[in-house]
Amino acid sequence: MRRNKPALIASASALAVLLAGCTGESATSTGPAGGGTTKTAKDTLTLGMSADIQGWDPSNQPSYQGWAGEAAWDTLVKCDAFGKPEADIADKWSITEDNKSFTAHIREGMKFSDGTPVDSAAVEATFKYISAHGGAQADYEGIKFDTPDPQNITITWPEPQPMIVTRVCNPKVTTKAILDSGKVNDTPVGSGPYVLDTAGTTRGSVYAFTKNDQHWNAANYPYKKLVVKVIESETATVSALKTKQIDGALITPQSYNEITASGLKVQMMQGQTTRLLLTDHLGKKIPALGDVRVRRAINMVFDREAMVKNLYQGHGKPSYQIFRPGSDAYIEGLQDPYPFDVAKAKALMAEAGYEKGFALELPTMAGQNHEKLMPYVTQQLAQLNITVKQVPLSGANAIGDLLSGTYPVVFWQLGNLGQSLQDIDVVVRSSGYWNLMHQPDATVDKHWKQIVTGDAAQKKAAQQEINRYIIDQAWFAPMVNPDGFYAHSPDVTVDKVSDVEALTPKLRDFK
Amino acid sequence: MTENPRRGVLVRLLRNPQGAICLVYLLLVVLVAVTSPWLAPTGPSVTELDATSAPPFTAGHLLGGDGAGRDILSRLMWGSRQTVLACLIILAVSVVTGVLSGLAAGFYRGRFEAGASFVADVIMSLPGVVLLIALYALTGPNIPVAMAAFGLILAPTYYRLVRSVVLGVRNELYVDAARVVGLPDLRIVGRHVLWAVRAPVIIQSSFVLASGIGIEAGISFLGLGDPAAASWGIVLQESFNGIYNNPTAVVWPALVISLTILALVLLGNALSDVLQASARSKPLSPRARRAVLKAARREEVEEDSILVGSSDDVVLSIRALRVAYPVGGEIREVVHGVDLDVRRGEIHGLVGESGSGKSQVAFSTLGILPREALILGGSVLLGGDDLLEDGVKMRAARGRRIAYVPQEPMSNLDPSFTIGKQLAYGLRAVTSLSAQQARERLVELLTRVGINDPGRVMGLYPHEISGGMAQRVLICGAVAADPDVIVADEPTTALDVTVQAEVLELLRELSRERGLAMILVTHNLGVVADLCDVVSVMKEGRIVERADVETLFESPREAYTKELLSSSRSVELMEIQP
Amino acid sequence: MALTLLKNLVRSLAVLLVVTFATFSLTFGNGPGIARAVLGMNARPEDVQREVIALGLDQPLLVQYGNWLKGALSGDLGASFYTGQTVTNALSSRVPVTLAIVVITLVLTAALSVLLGVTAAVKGGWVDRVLQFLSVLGTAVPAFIVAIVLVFAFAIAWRVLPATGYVSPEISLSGWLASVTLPVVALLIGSMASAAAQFRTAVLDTLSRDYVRTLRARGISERHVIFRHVLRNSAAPGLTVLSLTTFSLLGGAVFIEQVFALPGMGQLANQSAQINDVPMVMGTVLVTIVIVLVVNFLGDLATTVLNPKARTR
Repeated sequence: MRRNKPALIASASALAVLLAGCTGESATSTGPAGGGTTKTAKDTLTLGMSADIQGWDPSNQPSYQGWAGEAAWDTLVKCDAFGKPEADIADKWSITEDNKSFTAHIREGMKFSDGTPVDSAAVEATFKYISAHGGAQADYEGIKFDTPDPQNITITWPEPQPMIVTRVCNPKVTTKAILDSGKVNDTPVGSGPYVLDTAGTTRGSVYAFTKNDQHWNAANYPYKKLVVKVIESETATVSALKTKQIDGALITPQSYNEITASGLKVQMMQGQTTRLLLTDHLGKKIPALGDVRVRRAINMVFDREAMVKNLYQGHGKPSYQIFRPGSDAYIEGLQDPYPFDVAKAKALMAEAGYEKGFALELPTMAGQNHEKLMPYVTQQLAQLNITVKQVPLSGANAIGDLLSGTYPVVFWQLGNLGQSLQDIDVVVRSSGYWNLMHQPDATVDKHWKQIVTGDAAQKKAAQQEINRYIIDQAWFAPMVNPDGFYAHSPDVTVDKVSDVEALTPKLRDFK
Repeated sequence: MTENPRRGVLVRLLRNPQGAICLVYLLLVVLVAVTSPWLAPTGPSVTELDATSAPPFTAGHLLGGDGAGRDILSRLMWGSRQTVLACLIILAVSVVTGVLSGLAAGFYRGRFEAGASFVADVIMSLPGVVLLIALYALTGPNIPVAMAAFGLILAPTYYRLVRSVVLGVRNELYVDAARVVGLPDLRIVGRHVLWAVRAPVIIQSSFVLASGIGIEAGISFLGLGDPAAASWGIVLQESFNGIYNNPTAVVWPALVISLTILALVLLGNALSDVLQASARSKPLSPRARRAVLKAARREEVEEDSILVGSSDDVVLSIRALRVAYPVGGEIREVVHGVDLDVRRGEIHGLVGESGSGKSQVAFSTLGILPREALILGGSVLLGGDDLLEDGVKMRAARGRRIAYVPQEPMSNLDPSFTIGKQLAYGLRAVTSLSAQQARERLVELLTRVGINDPGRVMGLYPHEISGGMAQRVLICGAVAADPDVIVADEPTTALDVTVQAEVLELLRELSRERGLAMILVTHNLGVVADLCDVVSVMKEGRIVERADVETLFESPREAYTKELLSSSRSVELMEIQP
Repeated sequence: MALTLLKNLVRSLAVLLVVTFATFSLTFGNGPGIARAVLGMNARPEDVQREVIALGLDQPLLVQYGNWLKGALSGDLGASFYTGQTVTNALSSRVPVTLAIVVITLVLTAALSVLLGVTAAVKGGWVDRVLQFLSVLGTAVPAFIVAIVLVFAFAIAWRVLPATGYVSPEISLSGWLASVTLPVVALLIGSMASAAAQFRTAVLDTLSRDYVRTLRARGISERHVIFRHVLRNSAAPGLTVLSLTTFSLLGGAVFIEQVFALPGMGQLANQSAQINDVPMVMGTVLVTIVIVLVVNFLGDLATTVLNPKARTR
């Protein structure tokens, strides 16, 4: 699972993001500076990327803006926007009922870019490597392989894996030779739809690829060449988009008007939910939070409509649940369970015996939009006499501190996932790293058990139960689903975003 | 100026409009910082969603709202608290560190001084902000610590200042005297040196605070500040981030920061005017200069009654020359109507104590008075032309017909050019000689002034020759263009006694050989007796007595001349004694 | 002369060691934090511990610094903890951006401030007064505020130049010029103001020298006195002014890069310091000091060449 990467990048280049998000937007057209090259359709796709990739180690590839990785490598199966499997290296697959084993048949005739065949040995080597390298090692602990022949492989986990598809769709399959060579970070060896063109590539700024015509799915990758350019500054990105130096890039709300006014298209994505995480459900650290009335009262002091309108300039929707619309856990047609009502909230606090409020430390970090949102959050909580002290986190320890449980309440613009199981695993379950206090909860555990063992329908029902439960218990105070923006040239079609994180279109979405 | 410099610094500062305005503004900032909890319209983080990115002059939000819906005016008022705090920290750390280490280094010298100076050099040559950024990795967003670190980075400016002042003061009598009396070192430092360094430190502090405010705003702007706090830099950063939504919001913090820094810088300048008001004169503004000269000319109409005594062999004639300098707002006249004639072949001595105005007369004849000098009236007549009246004629005469031999030979040669080059430049500027011809002429002349190996000497730089040789070179430069008059300003004062005699002899010979007229400015009556034909005695800008050299020495009329003669003899006696 | 230069060289190396060691000590001691941040949120403690060892962050301070120094001596500055990009690679793209801005500004500062400083000193009068006033103003307002004002005026109100961002000259020369214009102007105003004031002082100082009076008395025209003698003798203090200007430009560039979102060294230093990316921080500090020392060295060399006393000794 590569969930961690976008968050890390967000903090790693916190300043760049902050800056891009804020200073961005060229107010002028720089003229056709170097642009204006005529381009025959479906010739070259040039994408802008706001942060460089971290070399070619397959265990260290971002899913956020991960186009270079998607170009170079295939995966056993691909995950769609809701985490459902699609064919890739495996043309046929099956999952055991206990969710422990994934059996795949490897497509015949596939070859890596070094000419060696894609076989079960390569898949095994890849998964072994992933289980010992990078940040997702825990997800592959104790896996076993069964490779009866080069075309068939079964991967087995010691414990049931409700998200077995997610586990399988992430590792980028490469050869044992390159993994053993010690030069795994230097160059990609994969069977992906494109092959790295080293002559046209300058690490740190431009990655060029030529199409792999032998790729099994070549028809769905219409461009003969792919170029990924690292453009860190938002303004440079906008100006490159306008001068057609690039065909697509992520932009921030500030550039939205500029981009649409210049005839470029924008694909909206709603991959985040701005929320308070109230993880001290048992009131271990802050006794008041152990009272559900206090958590509900907190939910009532935020004017979600006004937040969207003023703090997000209308780019977003009010949100009442933490899950992605359309995902299994999402409850369609849910009314606002805690409408904005400060008086009622105060009454609830009084009822719970906390009319005097309590003190709360909220961590802040650069690049998280905190400077814009935190004042309002602070002020609204103050109406319940909850006095907020902001604690700025910085440096390498920031993420560690954030997740350490020191701060039972966190205000974050956290991603929501198409595969809501993953959200439940990470944010709701006591073992999830975003469940900061890791307090056990029998109800959640009970439903999770149903998820682990049940069939698809039972899984979905259990997820909805969990969602209802955490809404009722007010474990979170969801506020806004802010829009994300992917700007692209009208020559390029981006109809859908297959990203389970809904943060960027995937390479296969560009038509 | 008659004001007591120790008293009324504040009064004088307030009388200086620039200083007063700055001081009032800065006091206002401090006042706002102290009173913002009561005066600010809202708290620093009170948000009002409807005021998000509100333009200025909206109801209730004079300067508008920021991206989070907070009142910008209130945030700036609250922010001044952090600015004042940052200033105090920077000032305390840098002054304490810099002054103490400077005192120690200047007073005790030795290894401590070497080490401290090395550290100071290193710190001063590094871009401080890079160090602050590295520090951030350790401390996180902590403005007080960053400001303390910046104080250390600025400390070397105090260190250098104090050290140099202490070095100067250290050897002065009063410190020595104090040491003789047996005061402990610390008390010496405390009583005398701190008193001596206080003015430069106060002035420096003003500039240090200015850069402190800049850096506080700057590092907040870089994102190294605490985002939850209200500070000018944070407000600026937030406004800049939202510049497309609310462009005018950046104006206010930018204005407040710039004005405060400007006020500190201007206050520093005003302070240095007030505290270091020296007796050195500064050039008048062109308008004031014209007004002074016009007024002087009006007076002159009545005064200028002396007829130009023209005798055939008078080469240079100075008439009613008046020279003045602007000093501290008034015009101080230093030469009060001097008349002087020099005849062909005559050496005319101009004697007087230093400050009597004799050099001013000499410089006037050459038109080389300092820029701030004012010639209030009079004329310098050369062959019937008034050189003071006509700049073109003055330039034409200078170097060609009137030449100059200066007092201090070493400082009167351009250190960057060889002897040959600078002599040739001068010669070719006033003649139409080719480079080759000029060289030949100079070789010849250098031989004449007593330089044995002119070819080699011409290739040397001034620092490579002796004082006596330098004076010969300068004399050579003066006579090269074959002038009619030489103005020699104390030509032997800076030389060894033996060399003095040789140079005087040379001047006498040249005068005779070429029929040169010479004005010899000197305070040394021995030289006068040795060389001059006629002597004019100057006192306080006037010629008090004029006579043949024999007459003057045998029967001086004026009491002042007598006094001069007797003191001169005693000085000579002292010089003779080992 | 050679001895003086050698002494300077030894001194420079000492500075290099002192400052890099000081910086290294500042960033030292956060191995687990860094490893955790590198691995991401999902990492287990044992993974973190393994990563600490893999990054060599479990070693004592002196050993780590020694390793860094050894690498640095052989031209290997290591790689970013986070992106794996080698420091030399990152610097090779970042340093030219900063240097371009600093060097262009420096050249313009040199040309314009000499012109202004000499004019003010020689002409005196109202020219001098106006220039002095402007110089106080220009020196007082910090460069990043000038930059913000420029962005506000040119990019937002009048919309004539790009507000922020950097276009590399290989992509488009005109785009590059457009993208460096405002940053250069922002830096230039302050540096020019302060350098011009210092040049003015240097020229006034030279003008007050005795030999200038003597040269005038010798009948040399004012033009020649100024251009041949005064300027020549003001060159050494002028060089000192320029080398100090270089240092302040390097510092100012950090802010300017932030305002204009230029991918320069200052941005790299700032971003890396915020996430404890020690190799990157060390790399930027090292390059900065090397630039400072090289400029110092060149300054000393030029002063030596200019000064006949030092040259002929």
